[in-house]
Amino acid sequence: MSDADAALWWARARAEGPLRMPSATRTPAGMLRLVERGGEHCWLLPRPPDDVTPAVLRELGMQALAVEFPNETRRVLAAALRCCWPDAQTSPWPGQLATVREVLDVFDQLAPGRGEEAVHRLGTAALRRLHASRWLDVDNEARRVGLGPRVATWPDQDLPALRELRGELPSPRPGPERNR
Amino acid sequence: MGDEPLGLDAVAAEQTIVSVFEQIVAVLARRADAAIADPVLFRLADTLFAAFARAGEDGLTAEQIRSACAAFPAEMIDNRLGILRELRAIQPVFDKPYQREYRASFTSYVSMLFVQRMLARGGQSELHQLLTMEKIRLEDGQSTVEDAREVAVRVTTALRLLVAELVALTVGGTVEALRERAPLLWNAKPLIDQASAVHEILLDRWPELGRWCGELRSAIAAYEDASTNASARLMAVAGTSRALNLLPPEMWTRFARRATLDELAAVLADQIFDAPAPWHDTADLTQAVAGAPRPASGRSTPPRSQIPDSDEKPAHERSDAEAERLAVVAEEVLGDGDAIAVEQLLSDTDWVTARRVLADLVAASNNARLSYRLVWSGTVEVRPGSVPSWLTHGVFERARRPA
Repeated sequence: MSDADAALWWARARAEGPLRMPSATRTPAGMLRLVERGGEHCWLLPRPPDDVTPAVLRELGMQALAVEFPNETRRVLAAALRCCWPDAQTSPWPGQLATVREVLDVFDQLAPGRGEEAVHRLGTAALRRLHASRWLDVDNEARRVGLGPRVATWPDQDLPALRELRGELPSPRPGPERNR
Repeated sequence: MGDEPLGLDAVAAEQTIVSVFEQIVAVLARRADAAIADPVLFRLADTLFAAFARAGEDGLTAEQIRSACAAFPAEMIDNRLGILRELRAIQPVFDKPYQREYRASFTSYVSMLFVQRMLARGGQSELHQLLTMEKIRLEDGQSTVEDAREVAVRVTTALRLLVAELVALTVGGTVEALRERAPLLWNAKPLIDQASAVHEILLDRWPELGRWCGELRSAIAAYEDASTNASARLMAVAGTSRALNLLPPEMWTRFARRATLDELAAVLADQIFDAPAPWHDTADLTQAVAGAPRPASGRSTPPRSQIPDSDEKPAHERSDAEAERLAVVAEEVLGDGDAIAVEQLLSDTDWVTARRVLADLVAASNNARLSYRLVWSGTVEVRPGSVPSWLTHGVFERARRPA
């Protein structure tokens, strides 16, 4: 793959976000290749050098992209991490599928006493936001949640903190599996 | 096309097509019911001409026409073919008997395109083009006085009709009706300029046409006034968002709903956007989980009133320990007897001890659960130098319990 092609891939990723491609696609230079569970498709993400993440914006005193309801959204992401990351010794990607109910149940336990309707509303909105930014992969038809390609962009030095966080979170309570 | 679900917007749009079409053909129609009144027929004609265009110079047989328009009912096609043949919109390829292939008339199809353009622009741009063409023709110097006079009359008539419609809408019509005809107001200024240019050429070259030029002048002025008034009314209604409200909101929503992805994206075709996604740092995640709001643990009991409720036992159970202590003190003081004089208890001690004893005796006397009482006599003995230095005689005794 020539430099020009790689540049085009980078431009595409810049404009469209993570790219979902057939697995036969070659990996352009400097991009991260994440094969999906099924193996038929893979995600291509730009990989910045030195494991730099957008968190560096804060160190530089620059405005990062704002998240709506940041705390609720992050709690839902943490809950999804709890449900979809079966083995803490491995890396989170690709993880396993969990049901929306399980994720919302963990979310509910994080901030208990809010009422079913409020949990559902906040949780659904957060799931939609996280799906749009590819942190999660939410299948609304099947009511399933999987991890999105962006979770693989957490640098390796963050993994211990993430494992600790995952260990702190409550596990989903068994409930009626209406969607099976 | 026929199986498209018909929404309210779709029906409205089709009715608009038909109504404009009716207005256009009205001039030529022989009977009121001779113009089509059904949008399906309009679509049929469109399909038909497209089929003819594909067929090329060989033309189409009646059977081929029917198969090309298979989406429409057979008798409707036959009916249409009959009319189109009669009006020579479709003609035999060669003018000989038993000719089976037909070709479509170019003029008829162009007239359909014209109808569609009239739909989009409300006829005002046709007036523009008419004026431009007249101007070119007049300028090239080959026109006669007769031609020039006809031009003046035609332009005057068109402008007067336009003015009449605008004035009626401005003065008597609803704002909605005025909005729908807003395309008539677009580009009013260039139209006036063009008409004035034509007027100048006419007057310059054929001074003898002064009378018609005067009428044209007054028509132009009337159009200027009418369009200004109509715009003013629209602006007044539209308020701050005037530019958007020149079009009815239905048109915006209809466009947004019906436009293809390409049409919508065309606006942004030369723009490149980042696809920025918010970043959720691990530290933020941990912080969000740690900062989750916890409900307060348990409820604190509300403060109780000190006054006992009437049906409750008096609250002196709480002072049981105190009552027991007082009873011990009282029994110690009384010993085996039933009564003891206060001065006997208080003499031979210092006041610090004596006043404590006195306080206990008063408390025991006042306690309703203990059956002791202090009985005081009226005399006060003053005893300078001794403790206490003055003394009221009294007796501490067992009281009879109330039976």
